[in-house]
Amino acid sequence: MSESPLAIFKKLFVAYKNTTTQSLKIIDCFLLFQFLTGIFQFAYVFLVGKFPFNSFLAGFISTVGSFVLTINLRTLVDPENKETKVSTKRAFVDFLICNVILHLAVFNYIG
Amino acid sequence: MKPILFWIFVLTLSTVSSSKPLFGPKTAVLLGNIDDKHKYSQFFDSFTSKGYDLNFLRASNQDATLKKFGEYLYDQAILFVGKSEEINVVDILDFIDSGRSVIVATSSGLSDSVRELAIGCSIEFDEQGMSVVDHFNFKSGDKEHTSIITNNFCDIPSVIGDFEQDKKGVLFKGIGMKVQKNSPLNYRILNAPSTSYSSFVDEKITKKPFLIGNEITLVAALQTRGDARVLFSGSIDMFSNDFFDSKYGNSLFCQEIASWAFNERGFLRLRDYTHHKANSMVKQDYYRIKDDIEFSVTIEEYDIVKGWVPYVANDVQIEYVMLSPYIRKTLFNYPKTGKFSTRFTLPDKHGTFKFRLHYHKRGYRFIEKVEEIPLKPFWHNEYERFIPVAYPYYLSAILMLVGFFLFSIIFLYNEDKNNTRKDK
Repeated sequence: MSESPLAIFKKLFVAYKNTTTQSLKIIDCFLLFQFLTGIFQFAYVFLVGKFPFNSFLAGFISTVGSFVLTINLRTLVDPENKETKVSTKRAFVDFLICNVILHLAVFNYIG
Repeated sequence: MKPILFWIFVLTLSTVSSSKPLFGPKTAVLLGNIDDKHKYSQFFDSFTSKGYDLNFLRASNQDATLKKFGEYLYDQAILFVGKSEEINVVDILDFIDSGRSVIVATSSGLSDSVRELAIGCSIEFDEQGMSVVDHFNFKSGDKEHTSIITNNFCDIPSVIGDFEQDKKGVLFKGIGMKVQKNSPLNYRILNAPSTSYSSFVDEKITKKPFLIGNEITLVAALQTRGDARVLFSGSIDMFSNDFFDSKYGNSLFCQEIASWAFNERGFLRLRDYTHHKANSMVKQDYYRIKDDIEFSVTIEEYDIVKGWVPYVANDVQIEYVMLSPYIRKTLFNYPKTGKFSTRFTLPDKHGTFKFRLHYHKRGYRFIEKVEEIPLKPFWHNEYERFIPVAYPYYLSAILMLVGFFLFSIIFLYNEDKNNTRKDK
């Protein structure tokens, strides 16, 4: 198509706003937040160096792990997902337990 | 009345001459011919006035032993052995190894045994019969030009003592030696002028002499690792009354180097060697990395009149070594008490470290004291609890957790407006 890239992005954004449910939008917000935190940590270790390497790993894993778990929650909760047969409640409880284990490990390793 | 005055006089005399030689007063003097001792009376009297007890023995006499039944009979020795007198080299080297000092003077007619003794002290004398000849710096009236005058002294203040202020030439007549230039144990105290050479007297020179110019050493010394000092001189005449009475500086020079050789100068000892953590006086068997510690030692020098006096110097260093020095600090000197101390922080690396006090100043006794102390790493609860560099990581982990709580609350209580969710 011979439309400018800006028009394409605008179309994408409008379609997104219309087709996704509120709960998915909340999940997407959270995903964005985790992503930015991860980027920030990576930039920090790039500048300052790897001194307490275990702390860096723990912080980075907390963002990446949460990101992965949230993506899983989004997949299971999305109404347009027709393959999985798990209820929203079950998906959320799984998400909860996995997050607890993740953060337990993170706070032990962060030193 | 009179006897009392006499005894008072004797008592005052004995208190005046209260100087004490370090190792003891008994000195053996080995001469080729005992009757020659009057020729060197000024030199020997300088010793007796300092409290030495001279025992004159004939060098080649079988009874002139320095050791009897395993015990040393004398505390130091003087050997005046030119003119082919043989000496017991093994005996004398054993005497030196026990830490006792020796002054050896010989002349052109030196025997093989004296040469062997010198080789045992890393000093190589010239061949028997050779003399040091100088056609430019000789005593006036000397036809053979073998009584040479030299100004070529070493610049070690501890060795030449008071002679430093009054540097007249020294008159020398005898044989030269060769001593390695940069040896840590040998001293080249008096060297020949650059215009001299070593040869038979009145011989035509057909090939290059063994020793020429500044290489020729006339007076040399060895300081052994056992704290003995051995002084070698190529001329006995240098110590004679005739040479002392000449206008040259022989008298002062010979007395000063002889007093250095007999440990009247430059003999140091350590006392009160301690190290402890900076704010406590407890001496520990081990230290921990990054501890602040204080190290101190007292060094004293022996003075023949005053006994042990505090040593004053600003170049004593302490090293903290594990395979190579991690720390090297100059100790701060307190001149009144002779205390040397400093404070420093131990390095970040753990292991077995040594405190090493290594002081080899020219003309002084060697000080080498090494003590091994382990350096332990931090206990796991001695590290700092929160590392400031890692605050962003702590922050992100906490934010993740907080975000998770908020998200779960919002997500659970959320109601979609157009209810397209199907509870499967």
